[in-house]
Amino acid sequence: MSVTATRLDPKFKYEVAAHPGGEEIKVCFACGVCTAGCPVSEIDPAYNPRKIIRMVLLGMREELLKSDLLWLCVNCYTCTAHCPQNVKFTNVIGALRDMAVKEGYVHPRFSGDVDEIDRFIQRLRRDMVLAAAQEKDAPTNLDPQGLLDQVTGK
Amino acid sequence: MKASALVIGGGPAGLGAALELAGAGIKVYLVEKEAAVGGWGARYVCKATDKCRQCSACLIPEKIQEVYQQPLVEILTNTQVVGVEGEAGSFQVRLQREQTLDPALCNACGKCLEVCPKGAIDRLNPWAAAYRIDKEKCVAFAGEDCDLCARACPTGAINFQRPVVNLDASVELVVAATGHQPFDARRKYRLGYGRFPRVITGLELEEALNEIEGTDIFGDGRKPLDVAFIQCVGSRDVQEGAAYCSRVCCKYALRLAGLMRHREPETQVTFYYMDIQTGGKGFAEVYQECRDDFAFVRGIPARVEGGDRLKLHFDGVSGQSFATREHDLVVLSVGITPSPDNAELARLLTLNRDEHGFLKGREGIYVAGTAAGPRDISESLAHGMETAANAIINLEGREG
Ligand SMILES: Cc1cc2nc3c(=O)[nH]c(=O)nc-3n(C[C@H](O)[C@H](O)[C@H](O)COP(=O)(O)OP(=O)(O)OC[C@H]3O[C@@H](n4cnc5c(N)ncnc54)[C@H](O)[C@@H]3O)c2cc1C
Ligand code: SF4
Ligand code: SF4
Repeated sequence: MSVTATRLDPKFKYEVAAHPGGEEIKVCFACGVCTAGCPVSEIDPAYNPRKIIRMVLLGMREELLKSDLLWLCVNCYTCTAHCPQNVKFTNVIGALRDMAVKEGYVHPRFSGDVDEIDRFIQRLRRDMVLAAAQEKDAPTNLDPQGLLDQVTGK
Repeated sequence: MKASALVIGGGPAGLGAALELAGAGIKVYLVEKEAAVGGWGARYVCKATDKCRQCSACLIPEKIQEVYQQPLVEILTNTQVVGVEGEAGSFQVRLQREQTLDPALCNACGKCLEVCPKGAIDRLNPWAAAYRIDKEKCVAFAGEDCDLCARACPTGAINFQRPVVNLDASVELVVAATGHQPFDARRKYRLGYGRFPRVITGLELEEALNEIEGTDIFGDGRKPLDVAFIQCVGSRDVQEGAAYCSRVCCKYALRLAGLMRHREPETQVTFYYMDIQTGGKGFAEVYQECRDDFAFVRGIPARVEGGDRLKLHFDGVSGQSFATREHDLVVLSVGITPSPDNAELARLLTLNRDEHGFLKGREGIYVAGTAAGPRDISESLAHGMETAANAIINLEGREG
């Protein structure tokens, strides 16, 4: 996600702010706590909540709405819990996703697909944690890939 | 002018107000609930390197001395205000003094210290002329039978039978200079305070550096050489009900870092801070002085993880995005929050509080220093003097 603006839409931030939960976006003071606590940012630094907010405030509408990164959020609400300004970033992402669907940047189906992936991952996580827990009192080194193969029956 | 005033709180604001009032010939009752005057700042370290860094820590002993030399100021330590009645120009106040250890009799010989099994006797701050009994630690205050210190005291300064005394006074005006409370860092669980010993607050660093010469603040021979300061802890934080800038943390933190580096030139320092939007005095000016000495990261960490070293999770922005980095000491630059006494004081003095919880004055009752909102030492002192000067003008207006 680069911040080389093409067309800027000064009204974009008002639209996002008008979305339920998007109200506080304008008071963000860019402290970066959201990104610092985000589990997705931790594995993929290209996904950066603080930067996404800057992009909204700058009016980088098209660039954001067509970005695949929007769909990486796992809705854990960590950013929202940490934000000193009560910016509800999880809801901001929700608003951006809604707008991306409504404006035809993605097929409406895609949003449901992402939910399906989330549920699948949750089931997988449960199975892997329970499988790992069988040896929870032994000093075994965790092998996530082996565990994955085990629970998926490969 | 023949008049009297009650000043509540003996920090820089209270000292400034008392001196200004006494200077105008007004008799002052300076009431301090602790065993010694000076306020928080009396424990801070002088942050001079090879030159004075103007941290104002030295203003406090200077003003304490002045106030003790001012015959019109009656200093009442270990004293609380329990009642205030009347109106501007004529208040009746009731004070309550706890006098187990009479500071007038104590000559700080230290005999009590030697016999106390609980280490409950200490000096509140380095400028305190007398010792104090820490009621949290003393078992006699918890109802147990112990009077070892009283028996050891050669001057009879300690006496557990001495009753609490009530003092009544008539005053024309009141100045509440009851100060603030440093932010309770335990509220930021994720920053590790209270969980990892090498995560400390700015207040603890002030006190630690004041007690030793070097930087071995834990006394374990492991001098911190890679220090992180996290700014705005409990300031500019709507979630903590502190939507304001504390105005002091940037300055004290940068100066403490400078002092550590002066004492131990190998010390590396990284500042984690926010996008600075509030202008004014503070970070910017001190930052200019030392931006080449320290590393600056524009992002507040979300998490500190413990271990041999402390691991910080932060957004490094400039080409870095999410990142982690290890340090061997983390200092949380805690801010100024309203004193927990403010609710009770507001009731006692019939005052209102502002949206953050700081006190607001009314006719005849003035509020000075950090009781009214964030300020540093010199600003609090000046605010105390200015508030007193206004009070004198109003009093003259009423009398004339
Ligand atoms: C960690 C930290 C570091 C700081 N470092 C610096 C620095 O280096 N330089 C600087 O200029 N500023 C610094 N400050 C700010 C400084 O602490 C304040 O500006 C200063 O203490 C304010 O003085 P004050 O008189 O308003 O209040 P306080 O210092 O809080 O004093 C209030 C006094 O009133 C007494 N009191 C309270 N309630 C009552 C009551 N009900 N009855 C009777 N007495 C009462 C208290 O015991 C206390 O003695 C720092 C602040 C923090 C949090
Ligand atoms: S945590 Fe809140 S204030 Fe800080 S950058 Fe993120 S949204 Fe903005
Ligand atoms: S809710 Fe989304 S953006 Fe916020 S921390 Fe979780 S994954 Fe990151």
